[in-house]
Amino acid sequence: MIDFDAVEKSCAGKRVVGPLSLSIPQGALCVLVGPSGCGKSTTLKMINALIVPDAGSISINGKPVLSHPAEELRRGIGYVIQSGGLFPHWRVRDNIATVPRLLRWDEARVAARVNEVAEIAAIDRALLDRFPHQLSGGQQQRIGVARALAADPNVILMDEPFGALDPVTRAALQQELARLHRDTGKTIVLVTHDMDEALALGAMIVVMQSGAVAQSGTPADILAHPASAFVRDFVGGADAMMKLLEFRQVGHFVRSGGGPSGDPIHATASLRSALTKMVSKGQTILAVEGESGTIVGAIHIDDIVAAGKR
Amino acid sequence: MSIASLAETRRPSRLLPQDHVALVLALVALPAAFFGGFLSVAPNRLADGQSLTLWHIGFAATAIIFAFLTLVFVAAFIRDKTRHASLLFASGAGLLICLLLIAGIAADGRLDPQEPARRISLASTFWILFSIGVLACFRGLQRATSLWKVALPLGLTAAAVTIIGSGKLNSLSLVHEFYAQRATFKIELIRHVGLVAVAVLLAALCAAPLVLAVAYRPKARVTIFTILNLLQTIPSIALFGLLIAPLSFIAAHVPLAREIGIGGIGAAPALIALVLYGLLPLVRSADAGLRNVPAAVRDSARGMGMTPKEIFRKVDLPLALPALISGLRVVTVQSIGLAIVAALIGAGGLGTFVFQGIGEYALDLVLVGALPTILLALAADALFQIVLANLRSRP
Repeated sequence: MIDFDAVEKSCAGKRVVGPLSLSIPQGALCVLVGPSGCGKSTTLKMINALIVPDAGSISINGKPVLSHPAEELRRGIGYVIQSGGLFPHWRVRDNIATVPRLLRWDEARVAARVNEVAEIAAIDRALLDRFPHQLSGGQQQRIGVARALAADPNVILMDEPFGALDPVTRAALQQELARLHRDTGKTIVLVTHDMDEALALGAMIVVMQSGAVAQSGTPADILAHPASAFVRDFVGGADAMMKLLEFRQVGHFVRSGGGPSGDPIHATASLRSALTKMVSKGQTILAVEGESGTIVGAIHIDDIVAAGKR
Repeated sequence: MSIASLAETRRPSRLLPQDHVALVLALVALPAAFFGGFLSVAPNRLADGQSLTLWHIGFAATAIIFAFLTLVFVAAFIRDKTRHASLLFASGAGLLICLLLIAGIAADGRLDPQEPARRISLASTFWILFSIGVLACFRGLQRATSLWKVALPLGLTAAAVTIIGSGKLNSLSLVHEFYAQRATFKIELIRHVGLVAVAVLLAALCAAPLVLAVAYRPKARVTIFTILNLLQTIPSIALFGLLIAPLSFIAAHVPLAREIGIGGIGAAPALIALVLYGLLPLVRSADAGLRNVPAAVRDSARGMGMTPKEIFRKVDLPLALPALISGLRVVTVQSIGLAIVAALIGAGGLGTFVFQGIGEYALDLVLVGALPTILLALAADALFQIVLANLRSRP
């Protein structure tokens, strides 16, 4: 658990962050999102003491971060930046081994861990002996994530990790990250300026505005009940409704009674895909199938429209 | 236009020059080879000589030189990279060897026992052709592996030394002068190399703290660069002159300094001047290397928990190493040349022959000092290039 308690940070006389109080639960995938200059990156870098707050305190599992020597703290926290920030003069294998070597693990253990982490991050073995410049942007970023995982830290910080990638690669790595989070149960704090990325990834989204939390909650919360005009605009205005439908399941809106026979939609599908199916089939009602494949009822377009209203 | 004819026009003609450098070398060499003096024959060391063109020397000599220049010309049109490089080096090397032999044999035939003071020296055409031979060899070696880059020039130098050693060139005044200076030559050569080596070493030692200050203390940066830039603008002779007074003062008042050889003239001012001149290139290149380390790389190094020392040792230093070695390369080559001037203030070295030659109006004696200096500089340059090409860093 990461706790921010009344944290403030000014830079050149201008307040960048604060006062900020925030709690990120153990094992969360928390996305800090906001326009550039909102202090999200500064907030992230205060967690591993790359930036020291002027006031307030930050603690991880109850222990203030500034109570450790900074280097020792950072070796216990994974850190991923845009474009990977890989060491260009080291092979991929040595890049991944950075923190274990800083921790003076013996070489046999380092080598074993590199292979293990490469497997977790789905890195082709053949890439391990290449240099970073021989890899694509997406591969480099994957190595960056593997490097952050290498010493098995409980917390991983990611600063705009997918910012420099093309949309296809970015979407693939986002899915990969979500899987990694599910599989490892690490606490991940990720910074992005892209609301769609936040919605795609975050179980917990923190929208930031001029150094303070504008709203935090689940994607559906934030889309359905934006706390302010700023948040409403930032999550996409009218388009937010369509995004919201993505986070609502057909199952919750089923009416009893049958629908048109043939090609039913699954109860766990999103309202958005139900709407897409309706438009593509020219129907306003779809049959809904449950767990076992039996028809449990029908979904009506009126209910989807109602769900999209705030 | 049909596809076939398009393809036809797309294919480059076989007769297009592939290597413009080699082409220019051959085209410059051809007129130079036939006009202008190849050897100069003078009745004594001081008198002006009468020049002999290649054509005067003989048909065979002209034909041989013409053949090698034609090979350089042909090499310019070869598309295959390996064949192009081999032919270029071979014709360059052949040209060099034949130039030496032709000059030696031609000089032999023109010595006159009645006129013991007669001097036969190498003239402009010889030197132009010689430079073209050297350039053709370099061009041929450009893409070669490190091993060839060392082996072939060494082989060529060994061949040249063998020819000189065999006495075939003894009639040339240059070789004459060399043998006359033989006893001191070895001493001055060692002194020259020693002066440069110590100067580069000291410059590197002095540059290290300056580099750290410049790279990591922004406030010191401007001051240090201003001073170093200023030092660089002082002409070398003026700097030697400027050092005489304070060093003489020290020698006069500090007995210990005098005992270890510090004085207004001699090795001490030469070393100091060479070190001062070496500082700016060293600091500037090292600084450029350190500044080129991407900010993202340093950021992630810090974020992963490297201490400032570890960042310097594991990230900054290895990434800046090529720039550091390039700096050393520049300073070494520069010092080899500058050390010539050091002879003026009694530091010795190959400059001794140069200034003695100028004083005696003996161009060949100047060359006895100048040629080895050029060779030394080229050798040092090649050595650093090889080190640069083989840099590997370990995590």
